[in-house]
Amino acid sequence: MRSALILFAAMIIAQWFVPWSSIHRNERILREGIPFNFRTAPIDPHDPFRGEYVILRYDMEDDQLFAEPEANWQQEQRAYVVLKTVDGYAAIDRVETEEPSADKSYIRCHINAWNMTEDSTMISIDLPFDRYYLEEGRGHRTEQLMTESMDTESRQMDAYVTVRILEGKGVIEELVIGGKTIREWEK
Amino acid sequence: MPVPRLLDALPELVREGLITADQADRIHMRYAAPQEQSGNRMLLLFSILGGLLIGLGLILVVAHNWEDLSRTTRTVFAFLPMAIGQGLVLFTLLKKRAVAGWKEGTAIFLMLAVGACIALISQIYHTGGELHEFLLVWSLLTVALLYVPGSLVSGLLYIGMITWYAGVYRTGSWHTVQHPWLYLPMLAVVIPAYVRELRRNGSSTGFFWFNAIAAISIAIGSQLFWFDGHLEVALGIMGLAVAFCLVPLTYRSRTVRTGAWPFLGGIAVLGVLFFLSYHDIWTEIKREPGDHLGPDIWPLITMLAIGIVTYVLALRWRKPMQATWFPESLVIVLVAYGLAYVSIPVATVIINAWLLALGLHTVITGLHLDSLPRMNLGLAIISVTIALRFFDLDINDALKGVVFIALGIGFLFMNMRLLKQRKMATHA
Repeated sequence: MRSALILFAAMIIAQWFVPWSSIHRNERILREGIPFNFRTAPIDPHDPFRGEYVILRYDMEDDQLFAEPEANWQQEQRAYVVLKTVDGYAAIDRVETEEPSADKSYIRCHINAWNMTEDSTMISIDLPFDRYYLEEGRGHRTEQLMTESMDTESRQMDAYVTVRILEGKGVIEELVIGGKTIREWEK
Repeated sequence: MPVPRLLDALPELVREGLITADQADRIHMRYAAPQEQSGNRMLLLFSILGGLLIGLGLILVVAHNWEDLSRTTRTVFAFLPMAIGQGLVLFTLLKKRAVAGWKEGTAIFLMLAVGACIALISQIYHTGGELHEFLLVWSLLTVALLYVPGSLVSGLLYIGMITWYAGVYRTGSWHTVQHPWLYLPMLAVVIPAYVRELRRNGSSTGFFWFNAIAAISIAIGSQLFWFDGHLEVALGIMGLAVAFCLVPLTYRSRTVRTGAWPFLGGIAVLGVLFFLSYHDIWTEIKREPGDHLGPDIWPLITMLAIGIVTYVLALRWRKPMQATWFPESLVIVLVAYGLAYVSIPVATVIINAWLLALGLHTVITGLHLDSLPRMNLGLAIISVTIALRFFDLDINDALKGVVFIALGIGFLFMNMRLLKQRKMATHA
């Protein structure tokens, strides 16, 4: 009986600790993190447990960068992307293999790497905050809003997410389409 | 005779002097117990259903995503059902430890409430993360329920979740082949619970389902460790399938309900044999001889070793080719594989001949044991083997038709013969 109670206590502690630590981390990022706007284009899928969400595909992820040969990038290697702001939107300043000590505005992510020639490698980044959960039935409407907000000349959508960045991690604060947050559209 | 009628008839039987009053009492006691047991069974069933329905309902409510509620309110709602579930499990541990209904119902509810909690937290903060990560965290946070309070149904759910995790993880990346290694230790955690159930409730329906889910999980999970598709994958499947077929023959007791293993194993043995019965399948050996396996050699060796070790273990209770010939298919396939390097037609002929022999033996055993399903299985093996070869051959449709009619008549004849045999035995 005693060992059963000890195992039960350990399970209870784990069941509280795991979600609590996630809340604690995310709340701290939302409070203290630096906000960046990431240009995006969502599409509408569904998760069996967490409900409806839009997958966020970022413009930044399409940027193809020439990598330093000595960095020796591998596919799906962990990387640190130092960010800057250009015209109000987040942009890549540089990509590093080690965690930057001087900069605060960096994101930990994975990269895609492919060889162009024997001594030149191209890389692109894969941002970790790729889901925005919505109330049931609103995914498709959000996708419609995105299509309507597309600029026919530049073929670019007027949509971005504000993400708070802290110590290499990011938490999405808001999804903005055509100058209005998704909550404002839903009202 | 239905139980109530039997009990009603007891006074009359005593009056007529057919049984004594003492015997009547003993009969009464014998049939009173199962009724009580059936009441417990109903309670258990409703507890399981209740826990499942409430928990699943909770997940659906969470999946709706109540955006209008504040972050704090939603966080409280995330933890509330989990806290209630934990309280119920603690109450069961302290007060209702011996009641299966309480153990199962509360454990299932807590398991699903934990899933709802982590789903809601993930939703509130738009946490990225793939489905496999979610399933992994959920499984790890609830695995202890198999032991405290010791719930069998939460064990089934757990096995289902880790199998789902392994499948999603293996198929999740477009760029690289990733193997779900964590699936193995997570499955190993179930073994003590399996042994406990085997000892306590080996003949129960619950244990039957435990075996069925475990067998399905291992059948799927084991196939997620290959890098590439090879002919040798069939050999690996055969190794594991033979081990499945032999599970009931590795122990003496016949009352343990492990029937799901040979059922799945039998299907896999036949599937591999039919697959290898095609001549063209073997030509891969010619195209890619020797070292084409690469790292796939390890899952192949492991699965074959499991098959061979189980076969040797089973020799304690079963002589080679005793009762069924299915396990010997492993030997035949390995011999055919070796010979295929010399001559592919010989390998193909060996597999086809074995299929016909296996079918014939199954028919004979079916007749001997007076078992219609077994006899028909044997006939089906023979018929499918013949039909497959006829589709292979370039012969005219009329001849094919005649052969199929002959097979149909064969089926009818054999079934009628067995039924007649039964009738004669009854009259005798």
